[in-house]
Amino acid sequence: MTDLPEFTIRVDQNPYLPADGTEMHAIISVEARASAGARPGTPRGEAAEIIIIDTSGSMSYSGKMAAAKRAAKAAVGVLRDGVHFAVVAGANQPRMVYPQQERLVRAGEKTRRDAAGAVQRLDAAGGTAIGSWLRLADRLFAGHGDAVRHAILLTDGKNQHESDEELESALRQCAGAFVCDARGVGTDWNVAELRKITSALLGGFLDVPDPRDLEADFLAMARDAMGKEIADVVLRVWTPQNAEVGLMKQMAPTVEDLTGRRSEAGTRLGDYPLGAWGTEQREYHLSVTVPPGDVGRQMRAAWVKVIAPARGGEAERVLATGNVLAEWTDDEAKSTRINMRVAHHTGQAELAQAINEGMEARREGDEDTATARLGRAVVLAKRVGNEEIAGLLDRVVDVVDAESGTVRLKRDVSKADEMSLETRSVRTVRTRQGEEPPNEAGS
Amino acid sequence: MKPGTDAGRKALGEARGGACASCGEPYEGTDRFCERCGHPHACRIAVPRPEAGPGRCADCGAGAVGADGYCDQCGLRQPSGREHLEAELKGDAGPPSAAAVTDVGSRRARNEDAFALVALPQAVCGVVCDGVATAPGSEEAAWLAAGTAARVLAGRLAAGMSPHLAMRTAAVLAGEAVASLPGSGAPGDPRGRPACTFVSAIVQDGGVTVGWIGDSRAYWLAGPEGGSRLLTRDDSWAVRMIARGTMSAADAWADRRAHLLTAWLGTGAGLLDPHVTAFRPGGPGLVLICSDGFWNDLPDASAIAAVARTGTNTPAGPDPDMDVGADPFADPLAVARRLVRAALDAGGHDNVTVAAIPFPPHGPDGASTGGTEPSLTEFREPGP
Repeated sequence: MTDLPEFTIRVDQNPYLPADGTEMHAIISVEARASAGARPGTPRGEAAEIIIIDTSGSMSYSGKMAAAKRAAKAAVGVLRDGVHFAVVAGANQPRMVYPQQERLVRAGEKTRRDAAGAVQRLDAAGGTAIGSWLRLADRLFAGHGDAVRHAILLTDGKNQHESDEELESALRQCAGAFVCDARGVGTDWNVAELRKITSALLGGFLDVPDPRDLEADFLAMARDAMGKEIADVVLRVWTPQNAEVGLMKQMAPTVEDLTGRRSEAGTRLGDYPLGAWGTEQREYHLSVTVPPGDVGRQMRAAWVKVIAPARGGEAERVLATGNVLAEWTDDEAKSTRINMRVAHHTGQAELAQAINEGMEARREGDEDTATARLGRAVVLAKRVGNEEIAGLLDRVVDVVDAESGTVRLKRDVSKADEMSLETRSVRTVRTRQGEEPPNEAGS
Repeated sequence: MKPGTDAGRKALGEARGGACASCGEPYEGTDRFCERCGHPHACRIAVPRPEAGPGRCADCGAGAVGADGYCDQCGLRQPSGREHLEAELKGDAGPPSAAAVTDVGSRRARNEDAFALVALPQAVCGVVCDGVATAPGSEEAAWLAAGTAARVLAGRLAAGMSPHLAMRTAAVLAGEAVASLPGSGAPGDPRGRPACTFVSAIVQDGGVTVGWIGDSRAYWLAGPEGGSRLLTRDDSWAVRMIARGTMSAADAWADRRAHLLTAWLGTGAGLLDPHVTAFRPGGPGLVLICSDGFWNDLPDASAIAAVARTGTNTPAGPDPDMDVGADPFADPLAVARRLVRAALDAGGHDNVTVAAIPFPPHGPDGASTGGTEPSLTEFREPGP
């Protein structure tokens, strides 16, 4: 088999709890570095890529179809030799664009050229039924279970031509079968819908208001997908008896709540899916509720492990481990100390929530709530140093006082700016270097 | 003569009747050295170790305790057995040769101090090592260093090596043993490597030889007539600053960097150059070696001597259990317990470890030690 990336786990926490304290928070930073196999000229693991292009009738406006064709061709162009791939067109029903049969073909000079030709002949007609598109992708990926399986989904509209139940059921079927990143082009798609789809499929999504930006975006997304070396990674969390995980949230690069994604992996063990990994770093906020302990006692509140799945007869492998500890103390100086990374990510989670609630209230005409929540978001964005979100907030509210969070709702806000703020509210920034307190020294 | 100790016997991993104190090889007759490892037989050695494998969890009763001390069911950390250890080297007859006590203190979760004691016909030796708390694995490092140094001292002194050279050899080999331990951090990152301090005393009729690396100390404790003194000079930031004249003693010790080590055993320590000095006492007394967890709270030699003699450093309140007329240093275990108790009462912020060796020394058979008297040129005044 090929080499796996090297994983490391780092745990940031204040391990001290006051007497009777039961809630322990920690930031789990997981970092993967490309294996030797990722060097040019050495063999790589199998990968499978499906590009799904919305070809509903609305795509023919504003140059979206032409941009989507350029983007799809660019993505096909960067597929590595040997990667299994297909291009699918989505409307009321999905349709194979390349190859014509329902299967994946290996990328090579000829197949990439033929696929680009097929993409060029696409026409826009019909409606939007994303669930059915994903089901086709699921069928195509079947038989490629050992590969890194990734889909790129482009849409410009709401999922109008199938029921919510149909989409939900498709997501249930596809969850775990492949990772899907999505792009919404134009301003007629639904932020919540794409969030639901990509969350279920462990991917991310972005808004692309201007179709001309699509090509560069697809190129980056396809290159990123080609950089993934291992699929179906899980974070396994051991907790002591009578303890339970309160929260398991990805906090970087985006906020993604994984708490409900737990699957039991044995006594006191829960698995949280982490999807596919290349060279990258992600951070998770874990909270565990433990039984109270006596002052002076120490407990392992959680034992976290990054696990590579069993593959081709090989057993699953532990790639990295980390400990979340707890120690009860009557020293208040210790138990009240706040870990900077925990505080940082708690602020970012609250920021995403404030934007969500503020924009929801704004849509419903509840201006008081919208003003209060978006004002809070302005304060938090400044505190955590998230300049992208601060800039997006500036397009939706007039900031009177950034310190206190006094804002006024802007009257004329473009649809694109609204959608951009909602889409990007979950994108976080990492804690800055040099913020770590120095270690205690001495013997 | 059976190798062994009285107090702390269950904690001693190396004491077996009729077997080599070092490797366990059985022996009989009059061999001076073990056939298998070369360890001297006329020797008692105490390197306390916790009971092997904590086994079942004492809290939930159901879980197994992992190598890192946590229960695999309830998650509670189980005691390592190193929280409080005592040892006394004593022959079948005569007064005890040496004693040591270590305690985790009231603030630290684990005891990263270690000690070892050796009694030979020609010398009584003690070793104290203090694991560097910020480096994982330092608990193991301290016990490994103390045990290694004790065995080296026993072997080299029995073979007739001079105490000065035996001390240097013991420190260097202890340092090599620590440096060979695996680290937990990134390769090449010295912060992730186990490390510890080292202090040792060889007490002979002819005098006292002291060696050290780091900020663990040796003291000479005299009777009420005075003369108690510090025998070592710390390898620490504060002492370096004071020695350079850069800072006043008060400012240097008040600095948060005061206790940073400038030398230690372990990776990143550079070429090991242990300090070795010697001292000829003018009369009876006691050699004390200790970790900084002890002297932080009780740095003054005269005050330490008062506590060692009476259990308190005020003349008014002697230990009520003491026989006032007796030699206050004749029972080194009682002295060590009094000293550790005083340090714990004064704060106990760190692990506290002391080893006490009365002078003139008593060998393993209870008789006064013989041995070659070191040449006078080896003795020089140690710095304060």
